[in-house]
Amino acid sequence: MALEATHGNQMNPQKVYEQFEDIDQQNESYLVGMWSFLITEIMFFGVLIFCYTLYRWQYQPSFYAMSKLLDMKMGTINTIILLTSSFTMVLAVHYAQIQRRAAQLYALLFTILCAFGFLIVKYFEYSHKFHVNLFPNPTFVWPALDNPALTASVPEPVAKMFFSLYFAMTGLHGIHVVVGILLLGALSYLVWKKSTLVEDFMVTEMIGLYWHFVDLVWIFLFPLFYLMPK
Amino acid sequence: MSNNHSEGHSHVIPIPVYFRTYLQLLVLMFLTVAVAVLAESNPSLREMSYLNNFVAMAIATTKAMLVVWIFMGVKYSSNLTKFYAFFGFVWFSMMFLVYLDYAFRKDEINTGWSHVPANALPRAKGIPGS
Repeated sequence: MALEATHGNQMNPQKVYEQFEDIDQQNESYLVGMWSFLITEIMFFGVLIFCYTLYRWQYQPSFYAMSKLLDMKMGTINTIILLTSSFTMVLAVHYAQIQRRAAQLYALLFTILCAFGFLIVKYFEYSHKFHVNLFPNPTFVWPALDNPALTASVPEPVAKMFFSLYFAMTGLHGIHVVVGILLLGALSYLVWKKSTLVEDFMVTEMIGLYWHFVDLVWIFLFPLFYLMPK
Repeated sequence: MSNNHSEGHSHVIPIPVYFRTYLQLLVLMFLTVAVAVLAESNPSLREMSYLNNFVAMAIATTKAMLVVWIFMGVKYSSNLTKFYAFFGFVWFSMMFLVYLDYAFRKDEINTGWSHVPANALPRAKGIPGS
């Protein structure tokens, strides 16, 4: 690939590829491309939030009773973990811009650590739900074994709908966290190996955008599921 | 093309700006949890706790704006990027117009599912009620 010019700033050796006029146009193309992808992600999660809102509108009292089966403490811990990981992710982008590779690597590794922390908390939540047979498949037991008094008034089909939405939405989000770990892991490896592929900070920036989007989804899932009012 | 880069160089944002945003996000998070817990614990407030729908969503939207604006760097990007960044959220808001259809519809939405066909899970053995 012919490289026409390097950017004037010594701190930031970005190379302009021949199809672009200048570095700004190249960076903008990266950003617009990434945002196009994120728009499809918004549509992806958007319809799920739409379904959730529709059913909660219809069955608010039942949904309120069932939200008590979710652990608000774990949801709060996970929110703190994800917000922290978003902060370390912007640090990684910052250090990539000023070419401080070691600091960038530490920031990325800490972000990965947070992602694993999130999944571990999620594992405890999910395994409890499976343990008391609240996963909506034929093993589903209703009223809920861990709180029969609270949930006795809720019809079983509505309960199944609630947990279908819960597992679909948090599960899809969890898959995005796993993909984020893979991306961040690959990026960390390349930074560690001092690969020329990641010299341009835009690679880190793109993965950062993805990671912030994962955080963004959780910012909405957290109040929707864990902080439901009566 | 860039519109507001006089330097012609991507912005390096100082860490204190990021850290301040991070603290703001944490404060907003504790606020939304505190409001929810308070509305739940106090019987007189619980009757009004439907208002928490608006409070919680307003706080979540504010947090989302902070993440998009500062962390995702939309504030420092070109107008074309800004357009793309907000287009998805505009679409997301427009989608909720579909609720008008449900609001004026006599039929119930699907009340959920309770019956699982016997052949849906052939390996399901020892299942309660089967």
